Amino acid sequence: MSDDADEEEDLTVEVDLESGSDDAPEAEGETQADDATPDADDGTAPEADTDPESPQGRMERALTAVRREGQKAAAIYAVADGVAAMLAVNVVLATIASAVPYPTVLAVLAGVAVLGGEFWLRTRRSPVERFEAANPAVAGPLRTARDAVESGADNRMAARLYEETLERLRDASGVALVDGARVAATGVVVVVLCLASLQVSVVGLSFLGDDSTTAVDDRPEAVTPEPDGLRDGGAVLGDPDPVDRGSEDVTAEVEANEGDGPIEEDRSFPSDGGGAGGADVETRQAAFSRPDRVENAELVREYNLRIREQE
Amino acid sequence: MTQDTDLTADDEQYEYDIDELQSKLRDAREELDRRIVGQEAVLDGLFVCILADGNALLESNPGLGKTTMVRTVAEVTDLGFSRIQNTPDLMPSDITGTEIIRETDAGREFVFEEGPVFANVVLADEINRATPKTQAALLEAMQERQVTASGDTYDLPEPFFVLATQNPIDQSGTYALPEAQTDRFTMKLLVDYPGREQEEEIVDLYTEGSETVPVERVLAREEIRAAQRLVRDVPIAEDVRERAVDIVRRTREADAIEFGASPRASMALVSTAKARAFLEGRSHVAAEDIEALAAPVLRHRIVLDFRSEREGTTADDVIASLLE
Repeated sequence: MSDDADEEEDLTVEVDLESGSDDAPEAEGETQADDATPDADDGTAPEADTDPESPQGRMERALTAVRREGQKAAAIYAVADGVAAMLAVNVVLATIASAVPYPTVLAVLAGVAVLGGEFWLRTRRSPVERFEAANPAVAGPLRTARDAVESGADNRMAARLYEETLERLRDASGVALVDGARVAATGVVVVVLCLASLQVSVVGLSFLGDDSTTAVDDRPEAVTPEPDGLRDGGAVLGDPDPVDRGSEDVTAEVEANEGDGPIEEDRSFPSDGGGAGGADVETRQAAFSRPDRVENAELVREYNLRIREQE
Repeated sequence: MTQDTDLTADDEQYEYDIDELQSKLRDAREELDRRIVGQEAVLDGLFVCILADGNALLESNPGLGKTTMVRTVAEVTDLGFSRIQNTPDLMPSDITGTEIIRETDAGREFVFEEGPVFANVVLADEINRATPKTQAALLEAMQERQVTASGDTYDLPEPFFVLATQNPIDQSGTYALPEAQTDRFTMKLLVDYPGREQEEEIVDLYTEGSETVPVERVLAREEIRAAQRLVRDVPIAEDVRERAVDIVRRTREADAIEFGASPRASMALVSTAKARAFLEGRSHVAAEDIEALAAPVLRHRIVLDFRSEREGTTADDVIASLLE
């Protein structure tokens, strides 16, 4: 997304059609590239020996800048849609077809394919024509000037046309090449897909096939002893039984002596005062399952191991 | 002729300011409006035709000011004007000129006496009343821009512009121009009756005050030649040119047309579109130029088939359908 923002920011800069000084090296490089290879628009190459400061030369630079703006706009669409496609495929593979190997790699490949395909499709149409469609005020002169440059026209009327077109291009902008609402909508979709991906990876959703993200309560290890011998406490103790009230009242006494003082009277306590219906309670080993979120599970485990050793 | 040639050479060396030329053309157009009322489209067509270095066929009823119109064009542009009233007994030499015997101090000698075709602006009134032989002589001069008499060739002055008129009402005793001849005219302009208010304005203009409405000469013939050369250099986009050619080619395939337009029509459509763009101060041809000039350029170059004529379809109707 940051790339998109950068691209969009670049597009807000009006095309420097007069001097081309802000990116002269780049423009010259692209002009040379255009000279060396057939032009993407029409398959013809501009004149190689054109004076760069002549109206025709400046028009050629302006056309190069216009084509660059078209490629930037195509890149913005391609990147936005590629990211959205990558996230969508990632979410789909994580929720529906979790058995597919390497889902992340597949998602990235899908995103790259969408990016490349859309960029190719968008740049297949002449960038100059797309610029004309986005800037109707300059459409006629720009198209005529493009054809005149490609045919090498350098007479007075052509020079006048170049000057007029350059003047009009100063008020034109490549921003119109990008549909802001469309890019914003794609951005929203990307954000939603990001959240969905996060949700799927943390909580886990699966509609088809086995998955490591199965719900916690259904996991078989909840009742199966783990390698260290610890078992689920609830499974060992069983369901809780209702407890009857005791039949014998015993007066409890509390002495206010110091804790270390001698006990003056021996007391005996009934051994069957608790428990359910006086049944014997078998000692069992307490254990905690992982989902119980015991804060200090390691400490409890250590105590249990010590108790077992003492027994 | 020698003088004209020298003027052309000087003219080609001198570069007129394009903006100034276009400004003068607008001024000339405004001067015409002072004298000619209610014929804006025809006047625009005339100027386009002059700038495209072409010739115009004017279809008009009598009394609509054709002669005044062409004479005024000549006045504001400093062009020589002549008028040929075509009749069945008009001979080709009456138009092109002939050799006469002239008495001089050295004796008798044959001297070529230039005919009325030796002018910059020629109004050939009711051209369909002349015999085919005379029509051919005029049209050949119009096409070749030269006249041959007794083995000698004489160049016509530049710029050279023929405006021929036809009367669509009275067809008795006329010799209709064949299609091959009408094809030589760049445009066919239709002069219709003015509106009521405009007709009242015409009446006031020519029945009050001075007998003639004064106009100023705002354009020199050298400037017209320079403008004609610049018009040829007006750039045209490929798709606009293809549109012009497509329109012309469709006339050869349309069901309602028996004979379509020739490639000369394609050239005329593009050249007049360039002239219209130049006249409007533009440096490029727009698609609107092609569509605006399709009817004037094509209407006299196509022949409708019998069914279309029977149904009352006009050439303009068919051309309009081709533009859709």
